[in-house]
Amino acid sequence: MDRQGAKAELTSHMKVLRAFAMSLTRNDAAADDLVQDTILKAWTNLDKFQEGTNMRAWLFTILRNTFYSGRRKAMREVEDSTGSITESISVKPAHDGRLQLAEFRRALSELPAEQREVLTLIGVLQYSYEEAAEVCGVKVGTVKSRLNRGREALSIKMQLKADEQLELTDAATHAVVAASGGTAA
Amino acid sequence: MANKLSQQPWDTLIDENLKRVFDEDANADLPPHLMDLLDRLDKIPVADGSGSASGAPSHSQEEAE
Repeated sequence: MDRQGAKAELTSHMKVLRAFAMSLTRNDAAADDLVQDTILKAWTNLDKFQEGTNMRAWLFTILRNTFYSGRRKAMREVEDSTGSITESISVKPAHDGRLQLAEFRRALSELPAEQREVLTLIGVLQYSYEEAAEVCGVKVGTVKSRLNRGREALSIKMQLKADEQLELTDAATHAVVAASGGTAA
Repeated sequence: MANKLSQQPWDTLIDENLKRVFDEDANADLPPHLMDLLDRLDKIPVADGSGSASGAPSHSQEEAE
């Protein structure tokens, strides 16, 4: 691939690449650094890219390899990568029973990066299980497991919030009925 | 089965929110230093086919975790 063509294609993937980096890091500065490292590695190793194949998938692979490599170097993180349902449920209730986007972001950030990664590849970018497995360098079964655990964790947070909202509504109803002299069963 | 069915609306809602989060991130402006990097790429030498930089896989690479 000629360098100008490669540069144009790299440029066309930059924003999605950064969004993917955000899905892994949940941090603007870290995502920017990750994208920068990825672009530099891709550019200096263009000979390894097979023209006509999927450059975005190649870039995603470089990016995630860089992310996990950096994470290993940064010693053990406190983050639980085994997929346990998060211990912290500190999301404010949304008025319509849904998690508002900022709240959803916070819930998402509490998941292990491995689960966010698979949720993004499959839930957002519509990768097949096989494609996601190739990008992540794991077996298809691992991809399915991470996807299910990630969805389960998010769903539990969202259901808890919905239940909390209902309880608040019930309490408000009781208070209104009581104040008006009626009885609430 | 009932559990599976009741789970599906949450999955749909989760995917919708995931897409909204991703779209928001993907539509954000790139920071200036990343734009500068793209401008500088032409000055950075490209490998001649030998060597292996960390994290840059051949396209068919599968990394074992």
